[in-house]
Amino acid sequence: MMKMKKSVLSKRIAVVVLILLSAAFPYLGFSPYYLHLVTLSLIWIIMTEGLNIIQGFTGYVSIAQASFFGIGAYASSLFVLKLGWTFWASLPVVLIIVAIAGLIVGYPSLRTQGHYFSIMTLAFCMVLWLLMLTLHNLTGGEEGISQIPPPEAIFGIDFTNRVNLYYLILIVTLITIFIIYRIKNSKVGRAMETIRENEQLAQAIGISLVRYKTLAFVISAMFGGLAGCFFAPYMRFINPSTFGADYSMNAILAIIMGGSGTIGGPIIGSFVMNFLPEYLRVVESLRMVIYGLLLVLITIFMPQGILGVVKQVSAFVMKKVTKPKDTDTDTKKTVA
Amino acid sequence: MFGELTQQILNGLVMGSYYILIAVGLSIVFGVLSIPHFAHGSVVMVGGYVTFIFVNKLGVPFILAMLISMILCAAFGILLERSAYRPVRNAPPINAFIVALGLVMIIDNLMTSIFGANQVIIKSPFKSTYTIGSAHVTSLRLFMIGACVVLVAALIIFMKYTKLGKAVRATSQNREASLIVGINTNVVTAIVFGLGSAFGAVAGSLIGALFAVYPTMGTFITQKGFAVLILGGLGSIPGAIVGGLIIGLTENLGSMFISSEYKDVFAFLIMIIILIFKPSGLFGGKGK
Amino acid sequence: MKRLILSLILIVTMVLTGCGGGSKASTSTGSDEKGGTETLRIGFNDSLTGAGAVYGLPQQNAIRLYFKQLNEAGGFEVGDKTYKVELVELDNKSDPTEAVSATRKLIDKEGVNIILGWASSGATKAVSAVIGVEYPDVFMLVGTAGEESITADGYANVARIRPPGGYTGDAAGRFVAKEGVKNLAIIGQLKDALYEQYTTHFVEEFEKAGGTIAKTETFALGDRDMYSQISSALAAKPEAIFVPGYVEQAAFVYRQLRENGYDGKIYGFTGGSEAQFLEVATPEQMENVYDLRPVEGTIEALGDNAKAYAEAYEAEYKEPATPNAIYAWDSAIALVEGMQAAGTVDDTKAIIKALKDMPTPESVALKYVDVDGKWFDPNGQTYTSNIALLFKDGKWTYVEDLPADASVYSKYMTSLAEANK
Repeated sequence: MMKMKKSVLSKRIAVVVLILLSAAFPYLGFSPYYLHLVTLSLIWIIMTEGLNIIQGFTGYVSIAQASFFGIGAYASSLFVLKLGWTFWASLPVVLIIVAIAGLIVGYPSLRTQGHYFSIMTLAFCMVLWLLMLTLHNLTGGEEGISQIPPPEAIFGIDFTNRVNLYYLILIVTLITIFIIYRIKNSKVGRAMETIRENEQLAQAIGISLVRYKTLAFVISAMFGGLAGCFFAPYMRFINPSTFGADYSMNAILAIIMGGSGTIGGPIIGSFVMNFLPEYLRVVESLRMVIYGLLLVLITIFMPQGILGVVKQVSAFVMKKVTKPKDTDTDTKKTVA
Repeated sequence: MFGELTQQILNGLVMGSYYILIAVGLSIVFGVLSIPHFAHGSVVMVGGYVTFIFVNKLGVPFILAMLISMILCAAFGILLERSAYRPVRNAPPINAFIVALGLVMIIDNLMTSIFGANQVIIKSPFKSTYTIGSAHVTSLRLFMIGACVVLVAALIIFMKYTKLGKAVRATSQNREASLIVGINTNVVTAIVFGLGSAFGAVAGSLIGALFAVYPTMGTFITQKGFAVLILGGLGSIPGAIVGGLIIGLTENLGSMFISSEYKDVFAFLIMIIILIFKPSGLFGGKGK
Repeated sequence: MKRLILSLILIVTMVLTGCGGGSKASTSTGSDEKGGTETLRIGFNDSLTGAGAVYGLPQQNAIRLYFKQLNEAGGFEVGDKTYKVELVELDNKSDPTEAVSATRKLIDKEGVNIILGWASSGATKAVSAVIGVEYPDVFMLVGTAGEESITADGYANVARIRPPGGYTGDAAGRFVAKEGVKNLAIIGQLKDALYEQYTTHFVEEFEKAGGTIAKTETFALGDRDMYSQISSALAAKPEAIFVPGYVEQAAFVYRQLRENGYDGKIYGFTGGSEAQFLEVATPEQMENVYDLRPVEGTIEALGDNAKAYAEAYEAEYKEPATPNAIYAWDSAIALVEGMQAAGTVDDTKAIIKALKDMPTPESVALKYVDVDGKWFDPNGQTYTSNIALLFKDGKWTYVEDLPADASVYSKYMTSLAEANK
């Protein structure tokens, strides 16, 4: 009993510390270049925490997340630049559009499973990417959309200031993590995890497969689109090359590396994906080879991802820490 | 219009043969071993480079070089299975997927470091052009169709009439039962990966002569290959054949009748449409 | 849970150590030990890997060579100081997001305020959107990237050597009409902005002169199978075929056209060297193929400076320069000329102003058309001459100049810039 209270408390403390750290980050004296990398990581977290719902919780690996990321980015930019809406007014509409896209892609895809499902989502990703490239009048094609303005000021906070924009994205990220956390620990989340573990069993105990799988897919898509809504004004420029299948693959990898199906996994994975290239710049030419090697080795030897290793290490440490206490009391007993 | 139609159908048959060669390799690996070999495209690429070295650098005749490439790639494929896929055989399927992605990164980037990022073109001995009506076709493109027909026929004969082939089919139907009956599944696994990679080597060599080989070509090949596979039904060789032909023809006829702007997506659109009506693919029965 | 804490500690450690290397931005100049010369750090951001590497790597070679020669000659003087150049190079992998990250690193962490390079249009455009707004004191001087709006967005700190695609497209359209072609088919990489812009202007001028377009077919970057596009285009029985696209793609189109029985004239816009084409097509197949492009690295249409550059490049790198590398070479020259004219290496606004105030200097390799007597027009754009080349006996031979009015086009670009503001 005491132990459980302690771990909940320490978890809460860790979360608070992290939030404080991320709030203080712009003022810690690092070059603005790193603020950029952290901001990109935050956008990634929104996208991958969302993807985690269909991939990690429900067990269906979707290769279409980059498309929803892109649809969010394009829709938001077009509403602002072509229709003159404000960023804030367009946000809910964009999310609805992304949800509809999620239904269109999800409905045929979810009727298949496993590898079929993944390849179906890949096919949709390719089709959507090509549409972004070809529908010139709408998307600008390869030229893309540029001069995307930052969100309009609210409460007098001006978002042309990069630090302010960072805080805005940070808040959205924290809200995202909180929502995903609540989903995981709810009936809905547990239903999804049951589907992942054993689909037939889930159906047998009355879980509606269609409803929960579709819900998972659409929610994942919406978070992908949400991330895109902030990516566009942050980068000021978008074009189709960012929204292809390899981007989807990177998102999937980020989740796997961090720990699929956990809350912390996508967070770790997002930072790794954005910061690792910095570390590996030293061996530029063989960078990707090392990266691939790491991937293979991690998957073979650490299938639970980094988080899994951390769990094993901490379990090991816990054992070592608690053991001596017991032997002490034992000797005490025998002496007495 | 009729003249163009003949030409486009011919175009479709040539590319269809290429897709079949790739999809068959993927199909036997997936059908027998249930492994989605996402690194297959990289094997195809390596096969192309091996033939390139033997033909362009060492002056070996094309067909002989292709045969050498088939043998070397078969060994390469078996090595990949042993070192990377086997350790994750009993893990959740997504692990094999990730391992494959890692292999792709390693292989593609090593090849880039060795050969550079630029394309290489294999010198082919096929130099003539024929006309069929008003349609033109080079001898190399006819050879592509011919090679596909010959090799697929050989594979079907192997699977149906030889002892090893029957062992392979037995393993694909029921792995445990095959073990009990005394079939050495490790040998079967090696044969399957070897055959699949050999087919990949042929595809890589032919495409390297017709177009070019370059280190990053693998990803798109794998994607198209799986589209063909899923369309035809995972694990079915007739499915791979029909799927390859459908996609080859659709791309060219779609480009003719609709627009060449969308040529790249016809394959994926057809796949989506067919899967909406038959989620296990045209000839697929397994469903997963 | 302990694992959550530990994993969060892991992230924090990683982020902080990753950031560790750069709390202080280095300055762009620094004193050299040996007598009096200062080191001037200049940034270089280009496609060293990825689809654009065929254009980016030669640019890197050209710029490195130029500054190597300059440094070995003792550096260059601005005001009363002598400077040697140190290049700070980063690869943007032909990817827009990566290009922005690399640029921010160059500016925020490495402390440079001038960046050369820029071959891929997508990557360049992404960066210009950021640099124009967030880093007005940084000078972005573009080499090869061809997409028009890079200098029509109205950012004062972005300039470019390579002329916009449409400017050459206009001239090319008139040329093809002049050749007597009435019915033309297009097989092009039309999803890419540069080729699409060139083609739009080409078609406008061609149709104005009485020509018609029989069929338009599209292929994508990376494609090599153009058989179906070719079959469709030939079925429309055109008198000639126009092929705008990357050199590797165009080479396959030319070969496949010949294989399919087409012997007529082919007009291209590709900017490829003989070697690049002959890798794919035979000299016989390349007969009757034109290239209608800015003069680029066609040395026989240029002067002695160009010859010296070409020889030095080949001596250094053991292979001839690609046509586009000369843009990078001249961009390095532009930088030095601008600094010397403005009398400063730090004040980028003054350097840009100086470039827009001067006529074309003697030191350049390319042949330019001054706009109202100025080398760089008000949009920061230069205009080179345009030429027609014909492939004959295994080589590109210079046919003639394609006349085009640079000041008219410059005004057109200015109107685009006004609209974008």
